[in-house]
Amino acid sequence: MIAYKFLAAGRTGPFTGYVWPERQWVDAPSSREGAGVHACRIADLPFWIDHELWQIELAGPVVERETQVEARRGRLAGRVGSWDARALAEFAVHGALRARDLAVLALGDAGIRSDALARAVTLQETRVVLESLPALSGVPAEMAAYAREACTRALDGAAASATHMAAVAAVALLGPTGFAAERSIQSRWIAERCGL
Amino acid sequence: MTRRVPEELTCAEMVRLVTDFLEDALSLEDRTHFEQHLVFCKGCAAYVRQMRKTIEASSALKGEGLSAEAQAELLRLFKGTCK
Ligand SMILES: [Zn+2]
Repeated sequence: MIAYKFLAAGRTGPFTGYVWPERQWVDAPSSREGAGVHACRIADLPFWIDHELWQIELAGPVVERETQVEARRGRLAGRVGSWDARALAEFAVHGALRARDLAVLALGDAGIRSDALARAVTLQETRVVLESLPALSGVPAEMAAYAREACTRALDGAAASATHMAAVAAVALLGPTGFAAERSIQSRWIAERCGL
Repeated sequence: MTRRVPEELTCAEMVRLVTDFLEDALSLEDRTHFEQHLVFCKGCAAYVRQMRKTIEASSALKGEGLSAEAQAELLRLFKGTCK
């Protein structure tokens, strides 16, 4: 099976600190459930964002779980070069602007005009408009807060955080299914941006 | 803000679970949620890094570098905290 794996800079496992060799098979340290080689299907990618994205070949029994797959062996097959610092920054902006779009919908549902917010192009502009909104309450207030926070996090370069905020905002507006729906939009964004 | 995604861990829950995470004692489900939280929460990621460093530093201390007086004083103080 061919899947994907996010790693920290230098092919480093974000939770184990293990430095992955290139193009060499790596065996799981034990056969215990959870101790295998973890990787992503395209739909899983938004949950595990990091600096490097690699294609990984998996072997042995592959167990598919909700947000990842686990195999007994894995081999980094090649780096996805299109996932770079610029893609990471663009993904952060995508998250923040999605949170903004959801806030615009919530404000519209509440009968509050938000043309300037819908038209805002940059994160700075979006944040300024959000900060100048009249006093809000209930869901519109919550949605505006998510959008503002997502802008702040994206401006801070925290792509995983900004996009997570968008997924939480989607739950606030759409209910429990909103989270998976937003993560799905994000995985499609990554796939298109990186040509996966 | 309310807790919108019930299956996700809060930062307070992360603090409670960090020792189990570092000792690899979490269930697979909890560990997955723990690691996902680390991806999007810079504060908890920094906290876990710090905890890991502290554990590494303290496990490197073997006590041979301490004088007999210092060891006795530390033992006395330690016993004092366990009353
Ligand atoms: Zn946290």
